[in-house]
Amino acid sequence: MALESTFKKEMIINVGPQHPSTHGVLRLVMTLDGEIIKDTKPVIGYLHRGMEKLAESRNYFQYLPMVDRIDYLSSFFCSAAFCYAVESIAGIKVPKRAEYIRLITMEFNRITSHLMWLAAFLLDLGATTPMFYAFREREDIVKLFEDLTGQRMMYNFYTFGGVKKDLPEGWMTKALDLCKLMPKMFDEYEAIITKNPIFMERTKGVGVLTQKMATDYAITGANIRGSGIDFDLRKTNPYSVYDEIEFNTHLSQNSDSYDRYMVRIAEMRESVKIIEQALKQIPGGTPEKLKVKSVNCGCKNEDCEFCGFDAQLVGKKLNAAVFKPPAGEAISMIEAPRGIITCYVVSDGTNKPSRVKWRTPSFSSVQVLPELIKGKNYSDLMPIFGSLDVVLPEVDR
Amino acid sequence: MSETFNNIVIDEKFEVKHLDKTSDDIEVIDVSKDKLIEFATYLKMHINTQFNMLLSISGIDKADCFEVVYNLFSTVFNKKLILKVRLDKKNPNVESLCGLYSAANWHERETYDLFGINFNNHPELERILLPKDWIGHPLRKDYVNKDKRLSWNER
Repeated sequence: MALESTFKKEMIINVGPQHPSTHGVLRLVMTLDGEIIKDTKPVIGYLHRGMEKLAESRNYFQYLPMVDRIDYLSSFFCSAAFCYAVESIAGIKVPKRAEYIRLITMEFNRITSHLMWLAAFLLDLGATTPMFYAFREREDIVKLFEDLTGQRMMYNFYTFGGVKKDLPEGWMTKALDLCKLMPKMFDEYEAIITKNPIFMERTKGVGVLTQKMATDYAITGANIRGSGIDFDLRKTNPYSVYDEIEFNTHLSQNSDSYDRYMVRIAEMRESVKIIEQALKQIPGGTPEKLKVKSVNCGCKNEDCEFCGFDAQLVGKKLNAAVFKPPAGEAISMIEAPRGIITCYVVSDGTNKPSRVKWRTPSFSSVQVLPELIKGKNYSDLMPIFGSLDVVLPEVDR
Repeated sequence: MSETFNNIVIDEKFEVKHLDKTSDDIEVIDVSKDKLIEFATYLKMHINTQFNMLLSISGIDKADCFEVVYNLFSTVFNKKLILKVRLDKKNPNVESLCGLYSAANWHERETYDLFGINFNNHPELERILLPKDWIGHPLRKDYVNKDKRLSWNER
């Protein structure tokens, strides 16, 4: 008798905070009726490091390396957001060559981030093999980053007004070779994943994020494009030099987990095309050629192709100790792999920012989770949560 | 904002002020806290504005007041807009936007957590990033952490 009454009651269980599939430290307090999820309450804040508070006591250059730690899988995007905001307050112009180097590194970073998502997502679903495939390519790109910046994860490569170093010799050839190789590798993933019956069974029609829900909760990035809303900041409000590059955005109509997977795979292919174009169009060409040409030219005109402003790396050399942007505020918006990163910087004319606010895309994605999984089976939790591409340090900041 | 957007009508109807644009050319509108809900509803629903996305809410601690900054975006016109509400330092409170945008829920909780700004009619206004027993609101400029568990250089 006692046993029967417990079957009829709803059960409250804890997922996390140390659950392996939550990609960090997230706790979900779930009310279950048998296997059906009745209610979910996400509890976040376990990885809160006070990024916004730390900005108050540090000057702009001291804060710059910390910015990378907000999202460790796509560090370039966070530092780009902060740099663009400070540059527009201080009125610093960025040379074209630096913008192109930023664009190339950001797009490579988008691929590494999506590959990491692919590995983790399929591992959540129980498929181990794609992880080894994905990490194989990720390793190649990470090695390129190591050549360029000396770091594998926290790059600290951008600075106000440009980038810190030029591309090393031979880097562009390596990058081009990798770009040629990568589409074949994506074909390999698609061969084992896309038409896989188990994968399709678990993701098709699961976790439908309607257009209304997506805009209401401010979901951005690949998640909203999977729902059929053509919202890509690189196209609609181009920052950096995205307006000089031709590329397509990919949309999907069914807005389920499977579509979000398809959009991300298509985005990786598009990133490869963007990188190839950027490597061709970069002002000054390869660093070896640029060095020789600028020594021979030596004209020092502003609009010279090899020694002018656009072939430089940094627009204006700044003194880290006395850098004080004028009072003002700026919001920079960046299309990161997970969605829109917004950095809101308020300067009061001193060498420390008065307020830095980070808007991170995963924060919204976790917020929509209870609505998505309400009334679904417990086994649908991981296909839905994994497909949203959440990174918890970014949620908690 | 869209070109058909009629500033004059709005200024009279909602008593708003146009502040300086941000450095990256985004329009900033100051609105009084009584008119906020009305104005936000207008911006979301009117066919010439359609600001259907609330990207973020943040607070700023200024010398004489608190500011709540709403960052709106329209996926139809691809326009950005910033709304600002000024609140006095004693008992800062403003109406919640949860009924209009579901995204406001957690962003308002975060602003309450870090600034101590109360959002009226919010479904569950409690701390989100910090533990429930935390004392004080850290992003206020007059905040001092007196927690005895911390060593002297962490306070």
